[in-house]
Amino acid sequence: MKRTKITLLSLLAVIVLSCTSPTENFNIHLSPTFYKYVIEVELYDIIDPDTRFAANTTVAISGQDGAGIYNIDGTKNVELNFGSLQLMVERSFEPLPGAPLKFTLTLNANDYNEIILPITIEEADYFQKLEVGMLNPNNLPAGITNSTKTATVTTSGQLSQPLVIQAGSNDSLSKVEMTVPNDITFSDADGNQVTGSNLNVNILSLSDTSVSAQQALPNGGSMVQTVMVNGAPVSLVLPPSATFKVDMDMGGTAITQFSGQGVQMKIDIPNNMLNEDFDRAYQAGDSVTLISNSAGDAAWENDGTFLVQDDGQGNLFVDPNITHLSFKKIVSRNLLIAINASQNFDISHRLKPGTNTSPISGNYAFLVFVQRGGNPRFDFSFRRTKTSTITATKSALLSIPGLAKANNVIVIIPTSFGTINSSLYDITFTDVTASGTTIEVNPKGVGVDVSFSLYCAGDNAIIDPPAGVKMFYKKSSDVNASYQHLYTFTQQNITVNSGRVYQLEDNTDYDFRALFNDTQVDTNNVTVIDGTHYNVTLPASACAQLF
Amino acid sequence: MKKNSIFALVLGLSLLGTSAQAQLFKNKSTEKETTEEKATEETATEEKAATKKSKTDPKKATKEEIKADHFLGYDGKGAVAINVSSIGLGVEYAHNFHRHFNGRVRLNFLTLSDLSQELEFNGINTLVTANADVFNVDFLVEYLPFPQSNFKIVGGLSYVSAGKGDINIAFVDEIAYGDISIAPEDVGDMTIGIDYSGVAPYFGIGFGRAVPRKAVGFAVELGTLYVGSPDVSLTATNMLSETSVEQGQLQENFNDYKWMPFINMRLSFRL
Repeated sequence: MKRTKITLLSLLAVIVLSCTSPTENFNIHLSPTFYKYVIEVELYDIIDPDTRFAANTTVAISGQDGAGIYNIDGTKNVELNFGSLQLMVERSFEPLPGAPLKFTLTLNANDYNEIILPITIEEADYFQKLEVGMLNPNNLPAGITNSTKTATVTTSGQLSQPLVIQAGSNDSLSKVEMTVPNDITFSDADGNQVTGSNLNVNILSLSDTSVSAQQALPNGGSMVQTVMVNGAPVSLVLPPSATFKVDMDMGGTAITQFSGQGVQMKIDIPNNMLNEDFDRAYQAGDSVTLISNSAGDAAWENDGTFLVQDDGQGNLFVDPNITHLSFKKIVSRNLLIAINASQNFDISHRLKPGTNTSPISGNYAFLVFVQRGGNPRFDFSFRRTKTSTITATKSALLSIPGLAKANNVIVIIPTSFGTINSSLYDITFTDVTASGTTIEVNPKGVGVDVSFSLYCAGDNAIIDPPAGVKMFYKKSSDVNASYQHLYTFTQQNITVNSGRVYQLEDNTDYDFRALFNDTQVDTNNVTVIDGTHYNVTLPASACAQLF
Repeated sequence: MKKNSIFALVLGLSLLGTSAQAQLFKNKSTEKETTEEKATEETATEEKAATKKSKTDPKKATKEEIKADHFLGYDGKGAVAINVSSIGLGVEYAHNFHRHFNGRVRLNFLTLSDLSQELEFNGINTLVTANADVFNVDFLVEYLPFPQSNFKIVGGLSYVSAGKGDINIAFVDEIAYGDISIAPEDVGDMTIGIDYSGVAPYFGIGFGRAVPRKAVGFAVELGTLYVGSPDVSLTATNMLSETSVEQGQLQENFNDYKWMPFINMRLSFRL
């Protein structure tokens, strides 16, 4: 009896204990979606763009929505890490349809010119990457020159005699001569007259073709700039013409305004410079528009239309009077008028024959090459777009208004931003018509299908990587190779944990690097095998931050 | 000793199912047969004695006669009862139709609405909110093997019209991320739902007659319903929303939970 009782009770215990626990193999999935919008600002030295920017940099955030901008770790301590700023938008400040978020970054790095960067984020523009060229005035690249002159100031705050300063980059045919008269007074940004003993004038000249020069343009350095046209901001690809930035100070106080007629600038119009209005070289009697951009302004303003003149020796010029100091640039008159004739370009992503034709979607930055016909000097210009978020599906349209000429061919090459690297893809152009161009993108490599999951063992949780995490890679066998960008996690793709990665080769060892804010995690000698799922167990410290 | 052995036997049977039941019955049949034979003999002796003493209508039996034969106190009578059980409150009607058997119809219902409790998991304060909606109708037969004893074995079928419950787990406190506070509603919550329904066999044992000998009776019962695997649902919101993919795993884990334990206390009133 006793033995039977024990056997029964034991059997009962076994039965109870053999029931599956309700939480067996059950994982909580955590997706850190308490922030959606990420802005990455990567700084580089214009003269050495491939080296990580390491100068001590202070960052100030201002503007109507500046209060909602945080460092990606949720603090207000915005710092440069690994050459980049990573910013996040607090939920209550997220942009709404028709109500974009706007703020301004002011970057001051030792030995470099201050950069004031206005940033606008539209609704659903979850990830924006800006590459900002930093200019060291004491170490200028080719295509950029600095011209400085000083003049004595009288007690009345006027120059003792007119000051004439000439400037222009060595590789540019476009020169400028500025004459500061001795019958004007000088004011600061608040309109207060500034007095002192000396007036210092500096003209930064950016050539019309140099890549470096274009990287020094305002708002992130790009030939695609926002211009106010009829009171509305319009995104335009600016033409190849010299750009000048004039700065003045008196006794250490920056001058921004003048009295009277202001300061006269004589700007050369190089021979054979294309007049886009008539598709020929400029002639005396044509008109040009002067646009200007003051520090911190998101858009260029129209400073007026001016007549092209001949100096009697066959040299063309315009001589506008300027009343405020800023970036100055000559553009064709009709460029602004032709903005309604926008040109759309169909980005057709077609994968290699034999692979599926599902669209490549993600965030891209584009190098925009504009090839202009009819002018041997300006038949090729290098332009780079601001690296804003563009979701390219199979038939996405990238609209670049302001280029109505049929003989302009826009060549768009994806850069290393996001999931596509131009060195990995063959770009071909088909169907070049007046209404558009189809760009075919074919990956060069076969790639591998891989998937992953991030796991916090102590919390039994599977984690999605937060938006802003960047992945880099290099072959383990290439000891001296530098890491290349592989992938950036954004709000749009953080739940995607599988896919074809064209940068990687099957059965090859790689070193991977993950960067997030000030954290770098290296994982070396990982053998990538096609079709493999990689379980990554996060360190307890990382999990502790999440739970 | 014998009663304890039988108790252990029946409890084991209720968990093992029919096949095990057959096996165990076979093992214990000898002992049980002996016990039953003795009970039957005693009952027959009592009946004989009662018949000899009086041929009066059982409903009009005297106290002495009832004292001599307990059955005369509730023979053919009915009773109503209220139940408090592990699956809610219930009302019941029982009727005696044999010295050893009572028939019972029982309604159980349980409604919980937003029953909340703060609990801590891994140092995280959570608010657990439960809801339940249970309604079932039981059709039972109660077997009293020993006339002198109110020990009973109950079996029957239960129709589970509604057997739903859900638990919602939500964060209570704000979570700090740097200088940013994440509100609990932004973190999200999880709701696990369980749904049993259908016809379920019932088996139980206890003490206390369905139709009491006296005007009022009290009974306790321990049993189990075989309800089958429940339908499990899992929803999660916001930062936890992807957890809903684990619904399949949760369903698999709950597939073993086919037996619903039942503990009942009953107060009955003889009609």
